Amino acid sequence: MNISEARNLLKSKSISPVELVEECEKNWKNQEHDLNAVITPMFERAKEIAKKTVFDESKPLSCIPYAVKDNICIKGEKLTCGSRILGEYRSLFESTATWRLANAGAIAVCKTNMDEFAMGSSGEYSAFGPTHNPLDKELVPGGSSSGSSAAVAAGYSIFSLGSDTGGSVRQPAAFCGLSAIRPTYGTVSRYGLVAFTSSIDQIGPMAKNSFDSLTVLKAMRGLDEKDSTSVAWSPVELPEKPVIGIPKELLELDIDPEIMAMLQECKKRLEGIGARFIEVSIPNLKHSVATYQLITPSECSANLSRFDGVRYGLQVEDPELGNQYKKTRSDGFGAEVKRRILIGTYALSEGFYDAYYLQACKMRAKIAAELYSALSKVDVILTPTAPTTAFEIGSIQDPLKMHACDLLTIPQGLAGIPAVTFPFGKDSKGRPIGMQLSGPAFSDDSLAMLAGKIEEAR
Amino acid sequence: MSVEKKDLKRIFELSKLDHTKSDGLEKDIERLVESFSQIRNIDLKDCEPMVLPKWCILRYRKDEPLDGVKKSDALSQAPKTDGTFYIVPKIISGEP
Repeated sequence: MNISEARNLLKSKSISPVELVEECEKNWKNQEHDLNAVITPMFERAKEIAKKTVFDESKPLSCIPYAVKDNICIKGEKLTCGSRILGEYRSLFESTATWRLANAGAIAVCKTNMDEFAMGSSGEYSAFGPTHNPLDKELVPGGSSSGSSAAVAAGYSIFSLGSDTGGSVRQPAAFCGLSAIRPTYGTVSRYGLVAFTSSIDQIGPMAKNSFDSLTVLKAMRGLDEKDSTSVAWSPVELPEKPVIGIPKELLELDIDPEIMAMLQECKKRLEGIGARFIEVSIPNLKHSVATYQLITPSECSANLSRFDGVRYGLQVEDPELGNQYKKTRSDGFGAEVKRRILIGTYALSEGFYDAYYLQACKMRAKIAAELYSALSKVDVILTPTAPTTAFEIGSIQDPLKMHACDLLTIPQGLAGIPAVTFPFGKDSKGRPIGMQLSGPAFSDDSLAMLAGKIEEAR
Repeated sequence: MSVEKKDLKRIFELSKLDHTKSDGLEKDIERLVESFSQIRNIDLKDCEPMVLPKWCILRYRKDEPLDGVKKSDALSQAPKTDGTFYIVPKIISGEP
């Protein structure tokens, strides 16, 4: 069920707000044993809210159940970030995104599983165990917003929120056959989103189609005093028949040939609705992963220093404070988080800062400039969302190989520009393929409308 | 380029992570640092580093209190508290 179908049922009173939540709860009860998509169910709370709520047509998300990635704060609810280190912590804050969605009528039904602190691309790096893909339980649902994609695909909710740094809403959406938007940096407040990489993180919607994702995005974005990097929405409209570029460097990258073939199909579909194609170049695309793997650990090593076991969360006692910090953090964090904290600390430390962190910030500028330049020649850039479709759980053990999963979703995050993923066909094993449209800053709505048009033309 | 042992030990110390429980992380760190050589050796002298997209200008809000966190609520989350302060192991020893 998508948002407009749910609204029609609610409007005609074919279903009550409580029944809609119960429908989601039923799907959760029936499938959660196999999927492990939820860390904290909130269905009882949601039913209480739904009981007191009457469908209000003027609110775009009135009575619509949604799932929330567990690094986004809902006041009074447990918050884990997929980690042991937060222990039994209950959030003292309400994120601006969930606060705005509540004002738009949406009802949160669960907090979802995720790669610990949003570091991962498969949903396997959670302290609460891996999430499974509802389309095939042997496969990963993608990550890091693994539970949020699985929740929508399995019908636990009608849409969900994830957070996207290197592709964490787009890649799992692609793996589960969903649509998702990474918004222009700054347009959705990060207040109440637990920081991973503050200069890149954005909360993004995941849904059954791009029109739904856009409805959610519109309800939650806007200037927020509580986030100093927040910016006012100032739309850039793209032409109805856009000029689209495909980066020639895609041919140099390790992308599944079936996905590259589907890219050509997608190009034809876009030409069918009036788009014109030219070649663009992003020469440093191949350095995106290394750049990202220096910048994000550097920022996260600072952001995660707050987890010390003194003020909240897990504490492993020791008579000496320094040892207590170490024991707490060593027991509380998983391997991938430790890897990134260590790399970030290394890149920022005396003697290495210029060679690593500063160099990565310069390369970030170069990649961003190449994207902005390409987008001055074309309206939109088309690429696949991920180099592979969903893979088997446990099949990628090498952290460097896991990092490469984000090859096509990292550049937009580095540059801060919006990108939309939408399902486009399947591979020979029947696994969904996602295609991605990226555009200039503030073109989010046009991109989502264009993706929606392609979805409708199916 | 491999990472020297003393540097590895130092980053564990700075990260407040237990070096004795490194569980193969040292090897991963070496491989990751090795993978960064691809950008380390590119001449970017004339390039200005980017830390935020250009349309984001960090601004200050008005210096007025917002609905903050109550002290009792904050302390209620602490592993150890006496109701007024967080309690940590003794960090100053000896006579004043």
